[in-house]
Amino acid sequence: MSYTSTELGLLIGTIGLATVVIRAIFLFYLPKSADHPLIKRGMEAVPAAMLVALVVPFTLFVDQRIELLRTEVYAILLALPLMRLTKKYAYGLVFAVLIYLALTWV
Amino acid sequence: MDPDNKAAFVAGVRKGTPLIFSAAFFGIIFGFTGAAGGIPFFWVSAMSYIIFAGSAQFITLVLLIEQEQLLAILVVAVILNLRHLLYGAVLHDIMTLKGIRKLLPAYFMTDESFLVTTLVHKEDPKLRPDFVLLGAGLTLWVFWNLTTIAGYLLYQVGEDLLNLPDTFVIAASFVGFLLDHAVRYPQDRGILAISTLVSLTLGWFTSSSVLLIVVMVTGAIYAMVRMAVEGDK
Repeated sequence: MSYTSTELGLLIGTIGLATVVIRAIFLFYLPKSADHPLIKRGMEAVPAAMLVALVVPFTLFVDQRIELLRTEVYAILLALPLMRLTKKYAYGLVFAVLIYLALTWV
Repeated sequence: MDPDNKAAFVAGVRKGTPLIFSAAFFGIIFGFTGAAGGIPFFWVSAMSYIIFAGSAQFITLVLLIEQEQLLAILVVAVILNLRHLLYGAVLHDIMTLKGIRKLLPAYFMTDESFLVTTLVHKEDPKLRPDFVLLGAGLTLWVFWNLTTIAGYLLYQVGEDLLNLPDTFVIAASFVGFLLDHAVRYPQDRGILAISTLVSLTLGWFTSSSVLLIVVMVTGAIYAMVRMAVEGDK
């Protein structure tokens, strides 16, 4: 790691403080303009976009190149129908890891 | 504690208890990922009790492991938490605590505790939402922090047994939620498609934090433009 303890402490403290401020700001004061449906819709879209940004590049890219023929990709792709069938969407990691271990073992 | 406040607090604990399983699951993954990424135990644990925001914590941890710039990490975490503005806006009119005391429910206001609070308020409006939120939030906080520690320790025990690539763990952790989102919210499939396109394009050129910011902002702008064009559906 190249971060110093001071940098880590400041980062974590600032994010923690920002998180509380974000959560508290409209508890204290709610301006009418912030209640606009367009702004609400934009904020609602952030988690969906974030999910894609976490899954797609981390699954398909290695060092900014697409590499599909890897055990990790197979494991995640095979986990998808399992999750769909069982409706255990929160267990993606469990399914994918088990498949990954099985494929690695084979 | 006043009996009415206690009843609300207990209702929050009860309603929040089923959610501890997913909190525990991700707490363990969080601790495990932090240990696997070489982040010292003190800081991994500190993230859980100082930030106490699952997705923002995960992003912070992942980007620290990826050695990203601190300012970029801060921006991503803040953008990710912006949705909490909505929670505050929704709860503004039903909160009863006054002044500086509002900071306490704000600290415990996660996605899960917000959901519990709104559900309980719908069932029984007489229960004070502040204390429902505190009950649910504190319950989740305890399990989140304990399982963060457990996940970190688990890595120390089983590092050689479960040597998984970091990027695989991250993608696998969230792929189910992505699938669930795509199935449950068909109205968001346009956002998912645009975000996928942007991810696939930017993945060739840029690092993860820049990609995350651009994808999230693009998704938000797309949703707003689409709503403006099609109207409120």
